[in-house]
Amino acid sequence: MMRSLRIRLILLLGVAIVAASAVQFTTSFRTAMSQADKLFDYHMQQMALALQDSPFQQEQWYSSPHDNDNAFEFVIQIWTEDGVRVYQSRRYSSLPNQGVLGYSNVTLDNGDWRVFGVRNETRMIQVAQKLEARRSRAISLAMKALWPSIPVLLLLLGVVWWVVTSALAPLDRIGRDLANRNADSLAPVDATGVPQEVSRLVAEVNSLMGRMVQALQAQKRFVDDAAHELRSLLTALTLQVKTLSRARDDAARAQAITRLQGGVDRASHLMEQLLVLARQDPLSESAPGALVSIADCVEQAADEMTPLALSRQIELHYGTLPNTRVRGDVESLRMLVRNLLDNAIRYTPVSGQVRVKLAVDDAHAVLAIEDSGSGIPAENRDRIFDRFYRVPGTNVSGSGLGLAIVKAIADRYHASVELGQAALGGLAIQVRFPLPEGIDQPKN
Amino acid sequence: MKVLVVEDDLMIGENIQIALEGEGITAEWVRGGADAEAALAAGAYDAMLLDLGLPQKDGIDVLRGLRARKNNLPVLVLTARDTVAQRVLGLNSGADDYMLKPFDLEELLARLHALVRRARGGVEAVYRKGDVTVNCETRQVLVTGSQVLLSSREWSILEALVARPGAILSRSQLEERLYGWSAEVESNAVEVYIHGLRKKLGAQFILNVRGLGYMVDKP
Repeated sequence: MMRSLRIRLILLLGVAIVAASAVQFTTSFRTAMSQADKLFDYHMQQMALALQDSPFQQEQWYSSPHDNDNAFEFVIQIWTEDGVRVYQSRRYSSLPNQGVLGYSNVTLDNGDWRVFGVRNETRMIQVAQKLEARRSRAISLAMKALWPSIPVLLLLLGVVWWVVTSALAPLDRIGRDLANRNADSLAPVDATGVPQEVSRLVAEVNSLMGRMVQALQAQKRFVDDAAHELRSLLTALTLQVKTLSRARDDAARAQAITRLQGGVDRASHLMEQLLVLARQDPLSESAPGALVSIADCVEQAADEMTPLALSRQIELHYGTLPNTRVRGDVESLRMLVRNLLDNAIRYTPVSGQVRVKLAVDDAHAVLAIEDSGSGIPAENRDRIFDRFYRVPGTNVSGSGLGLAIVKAIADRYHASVELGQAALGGLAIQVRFPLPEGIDQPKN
Repeated sequence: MKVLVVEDDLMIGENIQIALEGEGITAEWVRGGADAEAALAAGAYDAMLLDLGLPQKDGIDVLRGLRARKNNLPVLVLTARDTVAQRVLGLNSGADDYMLKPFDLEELLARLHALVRRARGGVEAVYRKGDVTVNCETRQVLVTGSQVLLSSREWSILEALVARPGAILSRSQLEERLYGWSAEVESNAVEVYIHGLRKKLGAQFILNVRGLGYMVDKP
């Protein structure tokens, strides 16, 4: 497998050019050969016809003046009508005998001959030529006609080399650009001067880079926030232990222990939330799951949140909820409701109200949780689902992960989460679950 | 010493306040950037402990605003932002010192003292006058070689006076040293603590300048 596109293109195009040239060379050679043949035949004929009229009366028939002149490759023989050979231009140990009239090929001990014979009233004239000599002469003629095509071939190969190299140069540049940059540089690749076919690739690479930058930024923000959160927590715990060790009397010690307990509670809450969030990772998604009753999950979550609600004297209403079921797992759905309730209770002033409603519209189960708190200002709603984000100015010490967890679980259920103004005065959060198909759902 | 603590985390702020007050340092604690600016405008502090990630207004902006107003208040930044770039930004924005969370309380106190001492022009930590020796670092007070125990409030007043020997501090200036304590300051509190100090350190140690306030002599 050739790794370089450039070398592959040059080789393939080169092979194609050489093959085409070979075909062209062969056909040209054959044409040249047949034309040379015709030409030699014509020569033989002309020679024979010219000799027809000459007054050959020599008695001495081996008397060619150019006995050793090998440059003249034709052999001319003349016979009288009674079969006496009167002339022979060259000495040959074996020559074609008086043959047929017209053209013929004769094979003798010393090779193949081409022979042309003609007869007039008094004599028979025969011109013969060794095919070997004729062929080498024809080949040299054909070669002379063909040699200019060799530089053309080389020129073509050079042009292919140059065209391929220059067409692939932008790819080369992009490759070098990517190879030479920092490991953490995700800046877009420069697309100037890149041909159309490659520019799509570059655009895709750049778009991928862009998405990676966003993912990395989100990751970095999460790590920064988590680091901040953990550092703050550790600082609080360290200081609380110090305060405890410095307490001078029993009252101060008891108070310090209460505070330390608060710190430990906060740490375990944060840890729990982080683990829940990690489990909601879309990558850890399992099978579609069984049918889960939302009402059951609300009841369980409300049970768990009752102590907190009581401690803040908050009324938690949920009444009788329709037995709407969605596909999923009980644990994460309960966690979703629990986080929503937890948020609502924490951010509602003492003696407030929190209300849970569940309704079914066309294709959705709509879970609504409303509170009588102060709500969330519209300008902060965009970021409210970000991990570790807390609305500025809130005094409640939460992990900042509650709504991020809600969002992550809702995403797994393909549910939407909407924020609104509650009739009770505070925040209303609606989670709309798509209903599974083919299952009867109670209407309310 | 009176310190402004700017920290949005409930648990951290609370515990820093307790720790500082245990050291006899008056700590006023606010939780937001804007609250910090209001406090800075209203009162005089010896130092500020500043968290950076604050609601309302970022700590860096508070710091820049402070330096833009030519205020040289010693500022010790306490933050979880741990990269070199962030530390450089903090120091370049006018912080005098920088501590990463989680930090050691003893180190925090030592650095705070060092900052305040440096801001006061490198005054020695030890003040000697007659029989009395006051060590601001160890908070030890010796009279003719034997140690005298002071209450936290008494120490606050004494520290303010020996920090600037020869300068007269008004009653309200001294009262301010006592603010930030959980208990309210009664109207004659300063007189009560001065009286207590005079009993322990000698009647002539703290001088009363009629109508102006109190002072200790230059050593």
